[in-house]
Amino acid sequence: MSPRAGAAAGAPEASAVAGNLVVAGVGGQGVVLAGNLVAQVLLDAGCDVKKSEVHGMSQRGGTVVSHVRFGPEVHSVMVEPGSADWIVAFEWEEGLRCLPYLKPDGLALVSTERRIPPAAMLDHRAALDYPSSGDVPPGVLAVDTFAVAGDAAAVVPVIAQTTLIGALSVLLPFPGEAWEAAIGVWVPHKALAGNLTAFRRGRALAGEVRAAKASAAERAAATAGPADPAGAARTSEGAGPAPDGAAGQLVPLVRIERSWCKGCDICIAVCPERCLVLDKLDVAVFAHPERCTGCQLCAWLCPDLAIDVLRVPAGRGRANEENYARTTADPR
Amino acid sequence: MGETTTLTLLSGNEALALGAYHAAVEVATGYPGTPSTEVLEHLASISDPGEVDVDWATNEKVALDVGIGAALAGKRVLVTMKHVGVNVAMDSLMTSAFIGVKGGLVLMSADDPGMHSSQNEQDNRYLASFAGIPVFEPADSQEVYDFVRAAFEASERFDLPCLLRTTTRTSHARSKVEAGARTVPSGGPSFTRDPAKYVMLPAFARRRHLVHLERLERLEAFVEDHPLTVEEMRSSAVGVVTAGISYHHVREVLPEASILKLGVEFPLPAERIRRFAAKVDRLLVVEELEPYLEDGIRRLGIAVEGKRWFPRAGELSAAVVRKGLAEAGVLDAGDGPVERTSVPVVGSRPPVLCAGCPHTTPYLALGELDAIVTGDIGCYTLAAGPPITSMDTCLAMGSSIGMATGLAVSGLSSQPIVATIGDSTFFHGGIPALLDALHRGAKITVVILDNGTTAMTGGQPHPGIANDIRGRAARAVDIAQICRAAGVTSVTVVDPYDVAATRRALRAAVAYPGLSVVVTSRACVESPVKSRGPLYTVIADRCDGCQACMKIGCPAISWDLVAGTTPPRVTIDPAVCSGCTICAQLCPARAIVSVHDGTEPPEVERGATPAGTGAAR
Repeated sequence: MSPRAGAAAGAPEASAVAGNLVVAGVGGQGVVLAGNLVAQVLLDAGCDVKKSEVHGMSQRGGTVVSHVRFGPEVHSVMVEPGSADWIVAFEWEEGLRCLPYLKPDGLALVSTERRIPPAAMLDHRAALDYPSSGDVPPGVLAVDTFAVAGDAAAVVPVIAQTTLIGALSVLLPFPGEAWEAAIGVWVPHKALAGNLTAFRRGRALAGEVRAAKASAAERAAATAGPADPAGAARTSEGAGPAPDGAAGQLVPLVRIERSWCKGCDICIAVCPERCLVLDKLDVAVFAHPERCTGCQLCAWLCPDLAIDVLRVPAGRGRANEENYARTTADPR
Repeated sequence: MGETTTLTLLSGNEALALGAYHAAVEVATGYPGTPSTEVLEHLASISDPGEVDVDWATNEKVALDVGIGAALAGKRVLVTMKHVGVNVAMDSLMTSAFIGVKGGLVLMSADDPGMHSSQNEQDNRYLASFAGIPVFEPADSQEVYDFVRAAFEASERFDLPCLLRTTTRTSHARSKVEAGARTVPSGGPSFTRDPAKYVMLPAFARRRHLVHLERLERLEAFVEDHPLTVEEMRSSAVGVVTAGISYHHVREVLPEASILKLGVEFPLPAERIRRFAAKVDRLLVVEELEPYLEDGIRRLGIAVEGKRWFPRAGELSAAVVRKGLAEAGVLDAGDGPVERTSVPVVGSRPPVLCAGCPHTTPYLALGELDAIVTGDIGCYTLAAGPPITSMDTCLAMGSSIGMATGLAVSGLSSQPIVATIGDSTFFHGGIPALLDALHRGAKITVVILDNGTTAMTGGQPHPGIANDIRGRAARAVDIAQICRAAGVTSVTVVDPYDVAATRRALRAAVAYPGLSVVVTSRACVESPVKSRGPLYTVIADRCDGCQACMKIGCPAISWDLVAGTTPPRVTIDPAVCSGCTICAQLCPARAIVSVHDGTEPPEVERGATPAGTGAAR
């Protein structure tokens, strides 16, 4: 290993700079390129840099995560959970997925762009619920990258995410020219102008980014010790309702294949006991299991064969239904 | 090494290509497979055709055979493949240790701990030690660059192929590389007849086995003081024997430990390990996957701890090593960064077939036929997942056809039995199985998904393509002609963008009283050129939310929740749509029309290709 002095002029004490960055997004969003670009800035500044990601399956619309580590001497190529100074995420849900990497005082710059996987699309409700939390967790700065990029991303939408690289550049002690030079190295020529504009517009968010960083640091200082992140979203679905009914007894359970329901409301109209209702997406829901007699009229009359009436042991019925509701994205 | 000319950030695979190039490699071949693929591509991009003969081989065994032949002509040869590819090459590799090489031969085995994109996570140090060839394992890009040259030198010195083992994290991580310049190869090709060495008849092979065993003894002496094996003495409380990427994880979490880093892992440097063990109070082994070093060290009669503390499955990381060291009592349990305990739950995002992927319609049609579908290795393996879920098995390259034959000869007749295999996979390992099925009279249907490229690994040419890795013209082999020439009496070629024709062809094929082949022929939407035809859009008033189009699993199709209609209408993202027309053909409400002229896709002339692309053939 032979560290060599950097070539870049004006990089303030690059050898004293160290940090961990996680870049995340969906295949096709330019995560790998963004990681290369940041690594280039660091290399030019004379840092030791290591960068790691997994190619392969992730190219087909899956999650892509790139780790960039830098400092006077870097060993492991991967960022440990709890040790990322910064996260840059080009997709909202992928940003949330990476939060375990973030340091207590770290800052995640997360695009509000949302890409819903096709499998989740099979169910109206999953589409609506995805991402699972619209709340902004602590340590996250949500950036409407399309709004910030404006016309720079009009032709090539992925260029909008370059605004986040601009925002990140505020937090690192390298001059804007160093970043723009690296963009020149890595971005294809025809997309260069748009990327530079998007970068500058992101870098112009300096005030907002610094304020978010300061508040993340403040919050970390305030909750030093065992962290209980107020406002953090749920860690699991509800623990499940209390069992109802006597053991051993079978009760009817109306199972609705949500992805097949088109909301025609025939089942709601024909149910003698008024057990079913339409939810806000016009998908039938078994809202009143306690009234159901198991007559199966709904199942017989459903034009889309979306309804099954099962008999299940009392007490498990509602829990089962909830389980089905959770797993409808997976038809098998 | 010559004077330093460059300092750049290279991936391990780029460093391997550059290292081989600088070490005077003249022939390079392999079969694509993550995480090995970029080596040959990079080598082709940095070298002139006159300097290095680079091209893909039909499969890994062919690649190694080509490599051995070139090595016998005195050339330095690089052969690349992923870990499971070495299984395919194993037949040649085992005996290549007997016949030896003349020019140096380095076999790159890119292992994939954690199975980021593989069907298993075998540890190929065992395969190399089984074959009796040296294993070099670098830890970062600089080492990859340096180790290739050392491996070539060892290969020539001991007249043996050498295995260079990388893992996903060495192949795909970027780190600094100081590089020299190319050593100009000396001398043209020559071949010296030596049947006793090159013709492995039993009488000759017996003698060569003895030669090999004697050579292994010399190798054991050679590795004892090999400069790539480095001893770093720090605290004597804990000594760690490690190699490859694991070295950096150990340095990260245990900077005070003494380390014996093995650059060559087969054979093991017994005396060196003994001396190191004697200098430390407690000896640990940190290695990914199998307890290869640990077992070897224990066989030397040295007390050592390894897999007792560290996992045998999956890849290591600083965090995993830290946890193991805490369990071993070397570190305090509270050491290290604190992970957030409360984070939002997020949905999974599995990889999916691209918008416009021609593999979707054959699998949708097979789902309708209730066929038992044996699958194979490629993008189309994603058809096993939702929403298509039309694949029942996936084992190894080329296995689909043999497994379908097995299901057929076992007497299953209630459902059609269909093997599905990609074009590159068919060339790789499907052809012998097709001949076998034909010869046995197995009543199966073989669907060859011909998208004119090796798509999963990023679009490499194969024997069916009219160009080589450098884009120069090459002879293309026709899949349908191969099948007909072999004697398949029912061979249908269909355009998978024509949904109705694809359905008809598959229905007829499974009804055929004998072996039938359907070739679905349509260029991959991503490679070699990104295919974009006239885009399609949804007329919201006509859409009734029936989800017929959602069955494709197209990433361009989603619910239009903005409009606020219930049930929501479908919308097509113009930035993602490729204009393949599949959704428009499936839409019962005829709600999906061309953006261009508002028409539905033409019912005839579906063989036409989207603008700007060429069909597979």
